[in-house]
Amino acid sequence: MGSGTILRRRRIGAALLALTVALLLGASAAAAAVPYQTYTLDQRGRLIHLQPAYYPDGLLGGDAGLSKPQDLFVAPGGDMYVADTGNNRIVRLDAAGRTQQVYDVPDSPLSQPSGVFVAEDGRIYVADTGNRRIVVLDAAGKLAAQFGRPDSRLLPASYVFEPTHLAVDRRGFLFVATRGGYQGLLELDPEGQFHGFFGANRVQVSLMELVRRAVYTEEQLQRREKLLPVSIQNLALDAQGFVYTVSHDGGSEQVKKLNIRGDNQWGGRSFGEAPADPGGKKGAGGADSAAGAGANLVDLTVDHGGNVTVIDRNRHVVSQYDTSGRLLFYWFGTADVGNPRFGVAQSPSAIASGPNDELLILDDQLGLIQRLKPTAFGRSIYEAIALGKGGSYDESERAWQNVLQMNAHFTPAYEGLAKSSIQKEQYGQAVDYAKLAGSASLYSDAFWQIRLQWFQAHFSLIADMVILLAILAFALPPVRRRLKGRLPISSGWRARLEGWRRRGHAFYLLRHPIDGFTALRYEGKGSYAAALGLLVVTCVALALRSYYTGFAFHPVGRGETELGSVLAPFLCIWLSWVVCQYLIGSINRGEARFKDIFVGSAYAMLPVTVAGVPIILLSNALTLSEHAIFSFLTTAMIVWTVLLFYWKVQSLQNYSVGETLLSILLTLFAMLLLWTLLFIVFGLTSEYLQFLYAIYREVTM
Amino acid sequence: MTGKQRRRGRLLKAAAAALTVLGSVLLVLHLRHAAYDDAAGPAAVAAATPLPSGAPLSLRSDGPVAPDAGWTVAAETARLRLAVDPHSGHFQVTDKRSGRSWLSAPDPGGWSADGLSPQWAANLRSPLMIRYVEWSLRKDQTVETNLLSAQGEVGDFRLVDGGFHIDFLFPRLGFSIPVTVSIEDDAVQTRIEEQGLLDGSSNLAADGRPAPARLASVRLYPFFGAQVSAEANGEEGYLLVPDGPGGLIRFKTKREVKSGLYSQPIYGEDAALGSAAAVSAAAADRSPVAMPVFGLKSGSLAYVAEIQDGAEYANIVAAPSGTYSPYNWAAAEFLYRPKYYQPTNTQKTEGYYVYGDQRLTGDRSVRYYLLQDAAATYSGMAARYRQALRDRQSLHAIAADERPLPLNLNLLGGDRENGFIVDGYRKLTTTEQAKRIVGELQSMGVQNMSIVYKGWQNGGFSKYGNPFPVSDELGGDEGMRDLAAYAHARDFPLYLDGGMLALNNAKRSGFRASRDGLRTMGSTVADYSEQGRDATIVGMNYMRSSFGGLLNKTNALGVDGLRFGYGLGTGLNSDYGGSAPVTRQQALAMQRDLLTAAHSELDGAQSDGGYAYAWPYADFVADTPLDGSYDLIVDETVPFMQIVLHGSIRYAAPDMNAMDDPETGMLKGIEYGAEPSFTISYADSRELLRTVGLKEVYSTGFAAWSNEMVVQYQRYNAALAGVQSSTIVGHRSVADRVYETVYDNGTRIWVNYGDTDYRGGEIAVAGRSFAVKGGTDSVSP
Repeated sequence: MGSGTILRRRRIGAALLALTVALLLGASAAAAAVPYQTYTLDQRGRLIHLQPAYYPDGLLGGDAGLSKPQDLFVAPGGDMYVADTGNNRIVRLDAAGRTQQVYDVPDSPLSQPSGVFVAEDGRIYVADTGNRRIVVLDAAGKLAAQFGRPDSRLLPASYVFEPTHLAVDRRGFLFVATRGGYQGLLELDPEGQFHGFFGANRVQVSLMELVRRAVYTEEQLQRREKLLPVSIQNLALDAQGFVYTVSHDGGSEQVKKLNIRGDNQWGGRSFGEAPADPGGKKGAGGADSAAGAGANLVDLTVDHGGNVTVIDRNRHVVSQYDTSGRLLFYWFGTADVGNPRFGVAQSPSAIASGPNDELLILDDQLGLIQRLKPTAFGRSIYEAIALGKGGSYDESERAWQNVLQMNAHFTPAYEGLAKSSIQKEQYGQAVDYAKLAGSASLYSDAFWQIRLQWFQAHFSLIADMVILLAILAFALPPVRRRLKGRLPISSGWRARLEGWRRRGHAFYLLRHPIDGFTALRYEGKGSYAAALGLLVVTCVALALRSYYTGFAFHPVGRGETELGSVLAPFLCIWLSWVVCQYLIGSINRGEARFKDIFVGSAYAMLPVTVAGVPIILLSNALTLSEHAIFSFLTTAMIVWTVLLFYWKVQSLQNYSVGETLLSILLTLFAMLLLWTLLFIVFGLTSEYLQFLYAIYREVTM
Repeated sequence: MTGKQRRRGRLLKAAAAALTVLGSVLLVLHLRHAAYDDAAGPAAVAAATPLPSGAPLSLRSDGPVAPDAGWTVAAETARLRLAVDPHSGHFQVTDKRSGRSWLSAPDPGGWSADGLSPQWAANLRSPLMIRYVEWSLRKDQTVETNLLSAQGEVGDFRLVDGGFHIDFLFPRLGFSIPVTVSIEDDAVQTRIEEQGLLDGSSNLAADGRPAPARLASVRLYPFFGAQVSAEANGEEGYLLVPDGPGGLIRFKTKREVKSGLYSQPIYGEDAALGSAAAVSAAAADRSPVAMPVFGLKSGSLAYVAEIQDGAEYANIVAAPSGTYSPYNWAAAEFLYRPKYYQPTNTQKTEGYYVYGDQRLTGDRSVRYYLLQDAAATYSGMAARYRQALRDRQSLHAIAADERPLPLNLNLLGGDRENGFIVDGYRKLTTTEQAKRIVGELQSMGVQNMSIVYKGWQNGGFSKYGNPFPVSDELGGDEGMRDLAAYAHARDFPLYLDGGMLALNNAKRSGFRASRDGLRTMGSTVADYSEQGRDATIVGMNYMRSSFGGLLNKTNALGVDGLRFGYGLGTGLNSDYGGSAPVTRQQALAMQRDLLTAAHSELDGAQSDGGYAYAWPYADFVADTPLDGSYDLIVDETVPFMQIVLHGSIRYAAPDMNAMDDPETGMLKGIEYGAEPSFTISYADSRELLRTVGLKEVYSTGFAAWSNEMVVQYQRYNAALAGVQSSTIVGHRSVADRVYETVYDNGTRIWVNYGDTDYRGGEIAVAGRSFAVKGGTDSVSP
């Protein structure tokens, strides 16, 4: 190997490489499949692989010679208007993609028009970006009006009017997205006069920024660049008058559905799915590196049913959401440069819905429009959603069954089935469906009804039981008193009883915690055996908690969590507490031996078993409407445990109140240090091994 | 020892360790260098022979290669005459009956210098194009050039039996590429010979060091028969590429979308290379190239070319007019050095691509079958290729069968399910339930079936390796024998799915990934990961040693055989583990050996999506593609593969209940003459949710599918029962979205994908439906 060899490194994202062989092998099985993968996420964010919801149907606009087209508008009749930005014109194509008319406005030429909208009366509104104006053409293409920067006192002097996209509502009011317009959409009245700003994004403040604000001086803060909201990239209107906006990126609320007052109906949601890693089980966000870039949401469209489709230019993801902003499905595929593929836009710049539910995606690199149509699977989902809204539960159930017949993994369908089962008062079935859908609320609704029915059916029995219990409560104590001390016990049993009694100390401790812990330290009541026994019992209680807690409070299917993942964190934290408490105590005039702390900490976990197990049992009889009871009991259990730990420290170490609190804080701090250290040591070691491996590779190459 | 001393001791130890590491690194560096020098020594002696000096390449400095009267006739057969120009290395083949000829250079009639780059003008006139690596500069990039631009020469021209031999010399680069061209019957064959091939590693530059250039790939006579698009004169023309079932790139004067080259590796990507194409996400959802063929049709002339030697090292390359040049052309690009991914960390997330030093050896040959008139269509090409395979005994005509069309019933046994403490097993179809399914289907009117049991292995569907015995939960070996007897009593064959044989994730089975797994060229173990199923690809040596036992155990179950999948008939990977690396060519030979053994020891063998090299050993091919890879460069998908296979090997379309669009899939299956196939479980589809490895199996519940299965089956049976042993002799589009398939027994099948009825001459086909016309009677669904 020549020493002067220059090797260019190519760094490839982990996920990307993980794809390698998976894709390679999947290829033969993927015969007769579209060139993209469709997924959805269920309620808990798990990835579900689906058959395509849309199939590539056509490639339009080839003869128009489009150059870097930036916008697409589909008129109700199917005619397509394309903002042919690179050629400074607007082109109208018919539904089959044949050029019908070219609008280049000879008396006032357009410059880089990047937005187009056609009103119901046929007037064409063009965002003439290069000329910083809005042009209105009549249906024949004659210049009807043009609006420059509105003249208004309310508009800041620094405001730059560079319109990129626009929409016109029924009243004739214009909503304009401008480049860098962080104030939101510009709303103009039909005469082009400033009416106001609409739907501005909020500033997204990072944690670091909050810290800065707290720490920096006034002067420093002023010198920092002012944080501005993200500007709105694009917009769409629907038949009900809602305005939809899409912004590049921003963590959440990238897509907004705004009513006439500018209130966001889809607050708090996050949009724009990340390409999934087909090899793994992770969902969105698990494999951002697959496309090597962050999201860049450039356009959205609303179809007749109110479903919204968003395109991501960087990651080639098309995501579709229902009327409530919930993800329906998303798909992505990539095409190599130089090898474009049917159905995959290389550089999507705009998207529009056609009159027959087709999606039209404008590709500004190829200068073409990709047409996609819903598959039978896609249609069946729309149908089921529509029927569910219409309130016809029988039909909705049939439609969801139809969806499941095509894909049994589509868990949102089980949600639909659970709803219709509840409506049809088939609660047992509803419980099953709710569990499959992973929906705690639906489970809870159905279970509430079942519980009610059970109470109604067994009312007399319950009443009898209550009476019986009351009688027993009165009658039993005298009997027990009479029996006491008369049972003959052999010496072997006596020894065994002694052992039990030591464990029985646990119950004494619960009633008299301070005395109990003191006894552990000074009367030799505790032993490692007893402590280990208690630890095992606690582990069992934790396992039960994860496995048997009622579905309403723990909506996770059986077998989805592993025992190890429940117990390992507990044991690690517990053990580090014991070690750190001992270390802190030993440098802080503490009197406890290691054994005392070990045993004491085991005893202090008692409430998890004593109170936890009944809570688990109870949770199976409760619904979400009694959530308060469940959370109160759980909180009480935790408080009790914390108190025991407090008393444990105080009694074992023989501390005052202040010393105890300090000791606990120090212990927690020591734990933090311990964990940081461990992470660093492990991290560095693996980095070092990596480094050696890299050298080895380099050398042996 | 005090604490201080102890600390010092530790410090010393750490320092010593660091020194050791540093020392060993230096040592390795040194050894590597020494090894390099040693290796260079003997090579220097062996390659000391000077390049033969040849006559300078005489091509006019501009304009096309035109056949002159002065060309030497090299050979003649009853049908063809081969003439050659020894000065340029170009040749011309003339069909003596029609007088029409094929030139190894682009058609001079269409030559136009307009818009042609100097580089491409030289490419078009050269008999071969090469790519090489500047070894001392960059090992990760190649330089593309041709004989003319590289100031090459021709040397050692001589006539040989049936043709001529010529050496193409690149003195500046130190390459010598020996080529023979010969004719035989209706075919012309071009061959790059291993004997005498010299390149940088076997050759010395003037200063005694190995020449810096290494040959990466060769395209020999890439513009054989190349034509410009001439739609004006009404002549049809297209390139045939083996994308999915077969794809056409039409001759168009104006293409809507500018594409680059069509360039795809034959038999898919090599997992041992981790190649660039494999890593790019676009490799997903591709139908790999299953057949080593390409073709060209222009007017009444056509050729179909089969890559014979070295197909496993070839890419099919095709370019329509407008891409680089005004010519439409297709060729094989033979790789001589693989580009591979070298990871530099254990997670394989970082690394680089680099060319290997070791040259891939062996002859490379392409045989062009020349066709004309009626045979000059894609169905004619497929027929000629089928004939070639039958002549070589690679395909055989299947015996006539009076029985109804078989329904391919894939049963899903069971899979692992995640558990709280230990993982469980979820059974989907026991052997008892399998009997019930078969019985019920029969009572519903399905009189012929071919059954494959999937997920039968102990441990379930997502367990690979050590499949025997059959899962106890499904009935164990005894249950499987029962089921086999039950099926055989009805004359239905029963196969076991062997798709997991080349993968392994079994614990405590004697398989150790680091020792027995497939090694990539970058010395990592090749992992397999798909939807919760993780495994290691099995190395060829382990594969060979464990294979015999598998066959015996299969036979002991009384079943008819295995269905082979990845690693046996598809998925061709070299293996750089062990003492001697297994090249892709050797891996192919090994796969053939294993399949031969299976074919002779089992009653039958099926192949899941098998590539052409697996066809001689398969009685049935499942999952034949109905669709291509959706490249915009490919204008049309045609059933080339199906025309080759029909009447020779039975084949099925992908499962109907896994199709993206079952209705179109059904029509396409009928158009392509494929048998219907379903994957079914006795348990409700909902049970799939609980399994670990069946996330991509959408819906299988028998109760929900039985009626649909029978309806679909009846449609297929109505269309295809009568043509099971016939070959397809014609296929064409008769109208927009209406296709006609013609069989050699006179049966014609029309399929209408449009929504409106089609009426043309003697037939009427309803929208989204099909019609059949046999010798006398006609059937409609």
